Amino acid sequence: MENNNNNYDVVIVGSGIAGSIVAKLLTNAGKKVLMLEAGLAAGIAMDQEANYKNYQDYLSTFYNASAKVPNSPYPNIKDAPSIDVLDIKKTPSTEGYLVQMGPIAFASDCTRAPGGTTLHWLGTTLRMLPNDFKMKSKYGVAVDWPIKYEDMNRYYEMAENEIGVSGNVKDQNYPIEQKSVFNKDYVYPMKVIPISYLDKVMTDIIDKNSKIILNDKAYKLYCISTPQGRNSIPNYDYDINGVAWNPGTKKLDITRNRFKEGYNPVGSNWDPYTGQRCEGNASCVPICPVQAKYNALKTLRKCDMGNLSVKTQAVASKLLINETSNWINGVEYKTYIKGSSPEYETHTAKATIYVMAASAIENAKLLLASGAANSSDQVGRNLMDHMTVLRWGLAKEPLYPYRGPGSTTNIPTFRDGEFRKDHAAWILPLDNWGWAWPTFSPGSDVTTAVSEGIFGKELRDRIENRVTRQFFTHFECEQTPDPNNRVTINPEYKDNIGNYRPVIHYNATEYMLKAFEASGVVSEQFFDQCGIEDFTEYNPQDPDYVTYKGKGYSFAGAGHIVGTHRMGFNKQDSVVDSDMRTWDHENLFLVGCGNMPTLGTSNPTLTMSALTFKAAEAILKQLEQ
Amino acid sequence: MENNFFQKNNPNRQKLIKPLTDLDTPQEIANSIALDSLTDSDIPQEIANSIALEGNIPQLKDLPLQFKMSQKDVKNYIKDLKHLQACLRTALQLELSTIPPYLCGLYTIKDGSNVEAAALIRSVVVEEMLHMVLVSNILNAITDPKSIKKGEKLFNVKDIIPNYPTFLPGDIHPEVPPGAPPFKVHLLKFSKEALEEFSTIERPSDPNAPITKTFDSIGQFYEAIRYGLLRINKKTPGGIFKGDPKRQITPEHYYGSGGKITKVTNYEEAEEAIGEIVGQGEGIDGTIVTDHVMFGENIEYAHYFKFQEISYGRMYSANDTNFQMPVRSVPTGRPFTVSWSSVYNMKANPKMKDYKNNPELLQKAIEFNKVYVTLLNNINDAVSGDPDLLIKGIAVMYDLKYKAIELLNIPLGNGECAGPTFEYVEL
Repeated sequence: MENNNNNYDVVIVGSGIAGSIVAKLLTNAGKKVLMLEAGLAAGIAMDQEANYKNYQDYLSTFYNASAKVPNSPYPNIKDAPSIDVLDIKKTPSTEGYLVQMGPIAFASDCTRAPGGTTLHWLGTTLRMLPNDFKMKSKYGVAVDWPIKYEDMNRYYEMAENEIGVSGNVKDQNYPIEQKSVFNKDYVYPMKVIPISYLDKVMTDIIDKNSKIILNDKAYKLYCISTPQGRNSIPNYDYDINGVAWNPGTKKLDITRNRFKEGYNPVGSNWDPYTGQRCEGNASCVPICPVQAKYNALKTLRKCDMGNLSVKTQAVASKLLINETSNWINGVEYKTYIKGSSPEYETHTAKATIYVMAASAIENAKLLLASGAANSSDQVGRNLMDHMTVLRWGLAKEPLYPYRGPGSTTNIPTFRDGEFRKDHAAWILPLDNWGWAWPTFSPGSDVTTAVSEGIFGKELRDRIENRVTRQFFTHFECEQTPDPNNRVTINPEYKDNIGNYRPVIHYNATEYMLKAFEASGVVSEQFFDQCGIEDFTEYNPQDPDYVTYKGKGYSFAGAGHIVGTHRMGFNKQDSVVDSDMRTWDHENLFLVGCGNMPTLGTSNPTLTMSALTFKAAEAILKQLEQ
Repeated sequence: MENNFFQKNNPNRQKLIKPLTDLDTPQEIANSIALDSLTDSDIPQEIANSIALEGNIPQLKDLPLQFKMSQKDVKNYIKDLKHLQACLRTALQLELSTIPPYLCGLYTIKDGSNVEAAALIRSVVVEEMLHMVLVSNILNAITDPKSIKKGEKLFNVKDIIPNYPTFLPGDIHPEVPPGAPPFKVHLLKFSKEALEEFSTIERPSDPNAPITKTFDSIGQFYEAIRYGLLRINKKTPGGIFKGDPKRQITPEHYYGSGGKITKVTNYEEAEEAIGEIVGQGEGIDGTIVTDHVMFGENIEYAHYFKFQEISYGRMYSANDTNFQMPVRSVPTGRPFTVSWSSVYNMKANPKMKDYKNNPELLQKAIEFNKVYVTLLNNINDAVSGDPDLLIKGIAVMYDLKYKAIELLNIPLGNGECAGPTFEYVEL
């Protein structure tokens, strides 16, 4: 059972975006990599036909699913379960994969499959803002990062190249002191994704109205285009063509084109000429039918395959620690046979360096199960998400949601400001999905109408009248780190093949509740001024219903699972250093959103990917010492 | 395997086109002499034997029975600027005439089967549309804006739509097997016959074919256009490239294949555009540049070879090198599944008049044709001074497919099913 040959330079656990970026950089620098992936072998097929077939399977599963939730297209494997938002119940609850101890339920999911959660991500790729990296020194809240925005800039450029971001730098007008957060003359790889019809109409309305008073201070709501990881028209002013390891300087170099060729959009994994442009399908979450949206398998395909071995259906279960050196000796993993039976084989993977890229919750769980990297007692703590308050209403005129991708515009007004001393900041994206998220529309509209005895032409008219006018937005509030929001393990709760299930403790602090309250104050004025009739309703029966100052709010998860193995200044305050190396084990690196000390108001994938480039640089440097 | 030889960003890529030559090869002339006395392509055995006895005349068994225009005639084919413009309009029709047969091949593949074949045909279709745009760029480049009436379009949609089965526009008559009727393009379901037809459309000129009065390949027709462009540009004071640059479609307006749009403002760029068209169609004059790997993952190669791959159910491999005409080597790369049965059994060359007794079916055929005409109008508007419109055609292309699939799902009662007719209708 033991596999003792130590031929690999690095073992990577997980084939999501973090694992794939590390694998790509390392294999192309000549390092031998073994990747362990818990999901099914079919999902990683590299040949055209098998890849196409597998993706079509995902699509047909999605089309047939009654609830089109983020994980609906992807197999949920008993032996390596995924978190599913449909399992979120009032706490305590052991339904689904997570054990939710409460007092309220953690509300986000992720995908355990080749390619990870990028299979169902929305693709929003906003950078974090400079102040997001210094919340403690600037606003006296949470913690500072050991990295400044200025240090991140070049890694952001690498990540934007890897993902293939479409956007307009000139639009990126944020409520901050700096004129721009970008390097001079920087442009995104591709031009901005065309703004959806709904966003065009709403931008006009919002720009004319929406002067908001919040806590006696005046704010102006304004709209900007959202940069996103889906293909658009290449920008011929963009000259970066990749990232390469420079063994001389021991750094990653951004390489540039000699000619003005522009970025070459990366098409689907089964046909390079499919998906070269976003075609405006609105099903970005959970699945882009043409793969115009980035997913991590696009990065994995760019590995030097001669240096990469991938083992699928291989669930990491424990890190083995050398007791004298405190170095990691190996990763024990269980290979399941069928996915549904409790049969498995145990193996050990060995290498010089180990990289955990299994998602914030899985990384934390594995470290806890192994007694690793936890001298700070921070492993599993500071679990965060964007606590998301949904708001929906009916416009007077049709807005025609679903024309274009999920979200092309956001209101950045409350992404930064002095108010962060008092309550959480948020981003307010305009959504292009009608009321699908809050009410499961349009299915629920039909069910309601039919139950009222409406049918035939009257039914069609009713649906057309309502669905076309549905407006929906959501306040993604930046959750701050709280040591009591945490992932733990308990021998009572194990999965089908004897691996720990994550046990979650979760709550909303007053800092968050104040933001919920503020979101109500803002959205009331916003909807009122823009002629949106408010239909928002929060039900005390909702699993994540909270009250504050006599008012009730339901929040949802944003799928942004962050913060379970934070990066910090020293081995007492954090799990990893600013190179994402664990303080406790010199040859163990953690990548993924778990490293982020705070969350900011941007969707975390871009920042996490940028950090992963930084981690890969440190890994290569360490390997070549 | 890293190879960027055909990649759109390779600055040397356009140089793949062969320089214009003055003379027919000695082999071509010899072949013509040998066959001069023949009126029938089916050469009697006794003549063959007698020619074979002559010393410096090639063995007849080696003689391909393909005829092509002599180099001298190709060179002088284009008479003047007007004729050149007319030939470019013919070239537009030529490119368009190939799209419906390829689309019939593509649409009749049932969802989920023949994945590789579908991807290959799809990329060819997208490139044929690119060729239409490239030809339009050349035509716009040599059209004096002063000569364009207000609202006048580059071409006439009604006139350009061919009536299938059709000869290839431009007096192009590819080789056919002995005894077979002259080559016409038919609308066929995905089948061996269709693939043979596709390969014939895209087959390169045989370097050794004897001389006749017509073109034997699309490549030869474009060669005549190149000569015409060069000669007329030279002898016209101030040149002929007086077109409005704003009517040019630029690279950002196009995607979905390995092709590249070239903006045309002078002869060199026109040659580059033709290089793209001919190179993608039949390969670089049917020859190989031996110091480069020609096949393999992520390498762009000509339509002719893509169709060969489908016919053989095998990709070319990086080691496949011999594609000198006439092509003898078969692809030896990764095999893939080709299923001739997972296909809609579409009636060949369907017509609206076939459906006249079935009003519902006729209506669907009309609806399909309306979308087809809309798409051509869209392309015509884009190349007539509104380049940004091109990208809006994408949604129409999806619609075209959906409407075709509706037709293919209607049985005709004899085991066959209906199909898209690609005819002109008023909108």
